[in-house]
Parts: sequence; C-alpha cells; structure tokens
Amino acid sequence: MAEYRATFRSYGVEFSILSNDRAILAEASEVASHALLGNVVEIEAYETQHKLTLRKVKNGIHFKLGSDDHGVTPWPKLAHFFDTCVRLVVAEFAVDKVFIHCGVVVWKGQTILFPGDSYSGKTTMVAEFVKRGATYYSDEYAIIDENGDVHPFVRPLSIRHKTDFSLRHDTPAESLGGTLGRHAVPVDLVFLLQYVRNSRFRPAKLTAGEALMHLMPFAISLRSNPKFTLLLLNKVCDRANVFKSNRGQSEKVANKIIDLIDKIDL
Amino acid sequence: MNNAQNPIARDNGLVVQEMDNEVLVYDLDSNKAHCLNDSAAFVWRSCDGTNSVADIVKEFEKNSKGKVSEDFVWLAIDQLNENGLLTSGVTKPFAGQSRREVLKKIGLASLVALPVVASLVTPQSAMAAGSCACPAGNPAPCAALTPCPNTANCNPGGVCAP
Repeated sequence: MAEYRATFRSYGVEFSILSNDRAILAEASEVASHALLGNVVEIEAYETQHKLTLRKVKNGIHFKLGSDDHGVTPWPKLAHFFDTCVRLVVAEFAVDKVFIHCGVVVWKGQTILFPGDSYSGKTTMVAEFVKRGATYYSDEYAIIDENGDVHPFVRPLSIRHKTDFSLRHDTPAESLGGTLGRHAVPVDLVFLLQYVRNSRFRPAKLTAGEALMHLMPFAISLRSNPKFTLLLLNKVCDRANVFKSNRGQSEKVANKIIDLIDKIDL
Repeated sequence: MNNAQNPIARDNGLVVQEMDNEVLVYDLDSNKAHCLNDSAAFVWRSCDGTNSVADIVKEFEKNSKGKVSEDFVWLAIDQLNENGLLTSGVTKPFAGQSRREVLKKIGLASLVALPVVASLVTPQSAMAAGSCACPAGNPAPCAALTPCPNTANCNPGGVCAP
C-alpha cells in the first residue's frame, strides 16, 4: 500500500504525518498548521522521532501517535483530537522553550498567568480581562523562553458552551475588545485558581518553591525534559508573585485581581 | 564511614532545583514534587550516611541556622523518609507520639523555622497535563486523563466530559 508523508518543524520539533491516503494527509497537514497557528514549516520528508500515522480503513481512520494506538474514528470526529495531539507533541518536545498549560494576559503592563487544566476556567478568566481591554497572549499555553519570558500564542479564545462543555466556539480576542500580544514579556503575576461554587477569592502568596511545585503539573515537558523544565519554571517563580486561591464567579474575581494589582507594590 | 543507622539522602531518580531558601525535588519514580524549606533542605543535604542525627544538629548550629534539638532533626528525617527522599527506612523515635504532637512540642521551643516537606502529585503524561481531548467514539484515552472530568466516555465533540 502506498504511503504518503509530510514532515514539519515547529518550535524546533520535527514531526511527520503519515497516511495511506493523499487526501487525508492533506487535511491532516492543514489541521496541524492550524493547531500551531502557522508556526510550522514543511521540511524535506525524512525519518523523524515523532510520527502521527493516519491509516484509512473501512470504518474510518486508524490513528497512531508514535506507538500509542488510538483506534479507528471517522476523520471529522478525529480531527479535533489530532489537532490536540499535534500541539502536545510540539509542546512537549519544544527546543529551548517550555509550554505551560496557562491562560495569559497583560493588564496595565502586568503579565498575568492563569495555569490550569482543561475545564478549570482558564479561558473564562482570560476572557474577563480581554473584555476589559487587556492584551491577549493565550488561552492555552504560556510559552516560556530561556529568560523566563512568555511568548504569545494568540489563537482565538476557545469559549465553551455554558451547559454543554463539548461545544465551543472560537472567538477572536479583538471581538471581545482586547488587543493581541506580539512580543515576549516577563511574567509578573501567577494566579493558581480553583473554581469552587460560591467560594471567596482569598489569594495566598506562595514562596518561590511552593510556586514552582504548583506550576509543575501544568508544564507539558515535565516528564520528557524535567531538568530544563524546572530551570525555566524557576526563572518564572523567581520573578513573579504567585498566588493561590479558590474562586467563584469569574467576573468578580477579575475585578478583585485588578484591585489587588492596584493595591500591591509589584 | 557509613553507619547503617545514619540516614542517607536518595540521589537516584530525582531532579533537584536549588532555590534561594528552598529546594524543589522532583521524584521521577513516584511522579511527585517535594518542596523542602531551608531547614528540611539542610537536613536532607546532611544525610550522607556518615552524619548521625547528633552530627546534623551540630552542623545545623555551626551553619548559624540556630539552636535545634535532635527531635527537630528527626522531624525532618521523618518527613524525608515518608516522602521517599532517603535511601532506606529510618525508624522514627517518637514512640507513641503523633507528628502533630511532636511538632507542637518542638515548635513551642524552637526559634528556627520547623522543617517542612510539602508534596504534590504531578501528571504521568503530557496528554494528562494538557488536555481532555479524545477521539470521538473511542473511550480508551479518557480513563488515563487524570485531571479530566471523571467519565469513561468520550463525547461526540471529542472531549472526555460528564
């Protein structure tokens, strides 16, 4: 059976998409480029460490990420998962950078990170600030460089439906009233927020060590490159004020964070 | 010379990040992160198999970290041991007393910050750290995504969701 291959480089990571179907390869390549916001170049095809294999079979597409077998799924449904996998491969193995699962905005010159897992409300918090005119950097990744600065990853905000979490729509930051970040900036504030219905926002400042420990679970490269990951996270924690708190409604919390920024001597 | 009774800090399977007044230890085997405050970090570094608890007390005081008791050092060793940061099990001498009781006793008498080891479990994979996405109709990955909603079903939108 014929095998088609496209090879790409993004953030220093080289990966190949392989398929027995030319059309699927073309669609998958487009999804990959979209997933990485165009920060991807096609390079000469050759053997790479990271392979995403999409084999067209009778009932759909048999998808493998490296040796991990993800079974057979029809392509339109698989596309979203494939998109996530491409981003994770790049995020995990990026050269000279560490990707942290975070929302990022700049408010009045202060760069704020909201680390969190999926469903933790990162996008909701980011959207609250963007609506107030913040500069939008990301609702998914804080991309940290060797100086500890954060780079923009300005995909449209992926806002979930209020009742059905599986539904989401892409919302450009500009349409909410924000502007887009363009340059790397140092991190000033980190808020580790846990949504608890009707809870009060009571930020407790963490020591640098505590902050680093709490940020670690959100760093995508922690398992594959722990030493470098800790080194860069330490640069963030060394400079930034890191707070931990439960939170209730995002709108109220955003106002309280703004009050806090106005009050504290940063 | 090593004495079998003396504690030894583990050094394999760990990534250590030194900080100003703390040490962050990432245990690759257990997927746990440990934050050692200055007191706990000093005791941990002193656990070289040659130092007895009495020696560590002396070293602690010699390094101007303040006057402490052997119970203080044992409190650190107990926590380091519990978190797998020593090579072999060390029998704690607080017979019949809970750590809380010992903490109270030492805390009232000590002017030095008590040794504290804080710990946190980290995700086992990048996928678990990053996403609740899944191939629609294929439930397998959901169970492995620990931070995601507790469900075995991947919904039609391609996410593990209630």
